[in-house]
Amino acid sequence: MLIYTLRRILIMIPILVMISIVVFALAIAMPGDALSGQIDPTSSNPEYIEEMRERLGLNDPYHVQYGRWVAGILQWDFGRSFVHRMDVTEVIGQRLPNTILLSVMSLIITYILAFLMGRYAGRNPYTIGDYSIQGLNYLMLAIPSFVAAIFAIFIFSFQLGWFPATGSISSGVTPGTLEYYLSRIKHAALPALVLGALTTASYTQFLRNDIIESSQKDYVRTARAKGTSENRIYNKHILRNSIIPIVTLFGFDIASIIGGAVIIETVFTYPGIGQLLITSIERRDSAVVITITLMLSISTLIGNLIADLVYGIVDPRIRVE
Amino acid sequence: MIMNYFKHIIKGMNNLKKSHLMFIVMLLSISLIVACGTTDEGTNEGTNDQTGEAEEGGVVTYGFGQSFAGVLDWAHYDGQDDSLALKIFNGDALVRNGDDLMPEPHLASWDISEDGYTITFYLEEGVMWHNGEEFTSEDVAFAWEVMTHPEYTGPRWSNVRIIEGAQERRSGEAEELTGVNIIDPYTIEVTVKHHETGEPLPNAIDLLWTYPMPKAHLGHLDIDEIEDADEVRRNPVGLGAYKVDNIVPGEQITFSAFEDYWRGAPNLDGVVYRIVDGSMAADLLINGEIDIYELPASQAVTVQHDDRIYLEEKEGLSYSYIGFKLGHWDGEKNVMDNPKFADVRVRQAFAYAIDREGMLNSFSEGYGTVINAAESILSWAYPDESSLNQYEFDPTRAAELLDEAGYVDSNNDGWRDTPDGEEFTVNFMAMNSNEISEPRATFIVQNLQDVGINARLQDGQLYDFNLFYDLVEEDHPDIDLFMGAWGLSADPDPTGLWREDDLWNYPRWVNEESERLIEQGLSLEAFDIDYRRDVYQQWHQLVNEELPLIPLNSPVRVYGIASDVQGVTPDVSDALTDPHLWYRTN
Repeated sequence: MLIYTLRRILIMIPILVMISIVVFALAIAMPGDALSGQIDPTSSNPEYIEEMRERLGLNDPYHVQYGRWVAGILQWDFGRSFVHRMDVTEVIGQRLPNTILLSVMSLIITYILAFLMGRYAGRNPYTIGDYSIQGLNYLMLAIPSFVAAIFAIFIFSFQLGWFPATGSISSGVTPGTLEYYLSRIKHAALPALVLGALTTASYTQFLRNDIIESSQKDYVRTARAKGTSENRIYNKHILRNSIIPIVTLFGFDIASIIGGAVIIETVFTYPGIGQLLITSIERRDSAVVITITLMLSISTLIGNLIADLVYGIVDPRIRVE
Repeated sequence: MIMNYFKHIIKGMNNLKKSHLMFIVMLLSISLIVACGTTDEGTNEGTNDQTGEAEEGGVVTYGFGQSFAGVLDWAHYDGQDDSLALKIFNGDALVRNGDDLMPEPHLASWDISEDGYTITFYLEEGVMWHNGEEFTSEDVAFAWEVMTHPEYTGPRWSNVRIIEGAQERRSGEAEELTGVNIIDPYTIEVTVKHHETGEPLPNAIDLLWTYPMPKAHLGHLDIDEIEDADEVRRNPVGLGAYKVDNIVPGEQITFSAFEDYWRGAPNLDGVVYRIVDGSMAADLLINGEIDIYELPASQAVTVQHDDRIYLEEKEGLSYSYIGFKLGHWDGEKNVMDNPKFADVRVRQAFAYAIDREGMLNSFSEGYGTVINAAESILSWAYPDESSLNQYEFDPTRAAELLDEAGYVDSNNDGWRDTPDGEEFTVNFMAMNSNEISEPRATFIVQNLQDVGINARLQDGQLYDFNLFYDLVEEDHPDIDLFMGAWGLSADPDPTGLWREDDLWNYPRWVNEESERLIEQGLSLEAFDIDYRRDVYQQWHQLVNEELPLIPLNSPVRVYGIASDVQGVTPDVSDALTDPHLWYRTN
């Protein structure tokens, strides 16, 4: 197990190098740079723009820029955001807590919904209840998230007024108070609900199918033959086994916890990583774009690693030596 | 309507580009707002001009659609995202612009010496900064010293390079800024001259940097650290009607009333500056989440009869245009060598062929004014329209001019050809800035095709903002015609966009007469405002005749304001003039 883990970690290094090259090349390939939009005669002039390009090193050959960038990263220096005029680590640091709050809430919502629906559908397969749950799942899978987001804002914010439509915090609350944390949660609730509800489908189906499959297994038949109650069979014997594959999916969710939801965050003007990525692409803030993309790639790699390892732990049969 | 949703959704799913997704999101939300607006139709008899005593108390939320960087210092900020916040807590400069964009005394009055070189400012006394310090001439000098320092990191060097000794200080040759002379705490003298020619400048007050900088608050910092310092980003100090309470980075800033404000304590308890999704702005206004927002025309029309909102309009300080590529930039100056539009009759024919009024009505809901001069219609220097050729939409006249110039269909393919019998094709390039960009560009192309010009959108698509200006700036050989826009400063001097050695002279138009007039506009005689106005009148007539670009319109900015918020003055770039006069009626 240890050797397996080490090997998995070592193999990540060349992948990371390749990712860094691709990410950097893509950022370079974006037309224009942060300065090409600054042609405002009222507050700037061509000399200033040329001077800034020189100072930021945008005129250097690409390999020099890449070398400088990698050298910086090794010293935990991800460069400076031209648009936000501060270090990239600080820009991302300001947004990351929002995104993590949103993602964790949406994951909790997903898990709860998927657990309840999957359990019910698995226990009563091929009934009206099961078909309605499946229908609902496919509907949610089919609705694009931005459409759902706009309808949610329209209904819950504008018509009913239950949730705020934008932002991550109300004005005038003091950081650190209970009111502050409640306000944070209230602002994250609606985007989290949309995000969470739309992704339940795969989890629900996973759980449902596994429960149906397990319920035909020999050990279940044995339990039934011994006269164990149906509730006990489903809750103890089947559910515990069926949750295992779901638990491993958590590894894959790590990337989404950090990456947030680009579209949902943008529609809700929720200041998280996803929204930052979009605005940075629009404004050619390449230092931020590169760093976020790299961060997402790394967290996907780590998520996969964790998924593999957790799988080995919860299911000894597939442990690789 | 429902069918439309699905069309958009299907289109969206076929198209993986995020920008298109966002575009659809905007479309959808606009449709929703339309839907919502119609339900309110029944109650639209609201009177919006509630009069009454200015009441005390309350908080007003000013919304904006793009997250702010948080550089809360005038000398270092970069975009409107930060300048809006700055105007709330530190909006006062020595000079402000009046209704006709003429400079007026504000924090200071001034004298200009006989020779035109020296300006003496007489500051208001008893003006206080939020940290309890008094505002003095030290603070004015401090701003100029920071901006001329070799380590200065902000973008506004061009506003101080006219001060005598600025170049020397910036290059490190001199320690002192020789052109600045503090006479007493309320009087300061500054010597200015043209940064290249050394001549006196009639527009020096407009060019010069007049925002003071709190020396007691920032003086202890290294110059290259100011931009990042907590003194700027977390607890900035200003002298405006509201002081900064709390900053949530990129999202909102809360301000509270500053009772010692020099023009009187504000009516409100506080102001909130808040970033929201611009495509939902109208609904957020109705919902009360924001109180003031600059609405896009497409949203403004949907709420103009809603009694929970009233709209205020004001001409913006900008104009849009269609430019002809007449030459190229050779690295140092513009060279006019492209034969395509060399015949002025062809350029004029294009102007007659394009229905500018129709464009405004179809795509901007009529919010805007068709102009024939490349200047803000608010400006004191805007020429007399009656002296300009109006180029009213007239396809027949356009066809006549093209015939006259020899552009006729010589090979019977349905399109006009050049006088030499070669194919005459026109590539039109436009940028993709909002939901009206594409239909508007198609409209223009159609107008040109209607008079027999083989015009088409370059590569059949619109260009992203950055790419557009990169290609226009490098004179990409495929560009014949391009549609752009310029923001304007209060001063009407065309230098920067129109001279032979200006990189941003995108049409690459070079004209001796124009050079001469622009120089005259900055000459010693131009200290006489009537002389200067006359020079610009002549210059605009010349441009109007030569037509290196077709001015389209000067936009009207529309501000949506919650009906219980009063005292708001809309202005050329925002509605933040005199926020201490705002009040709530409930």
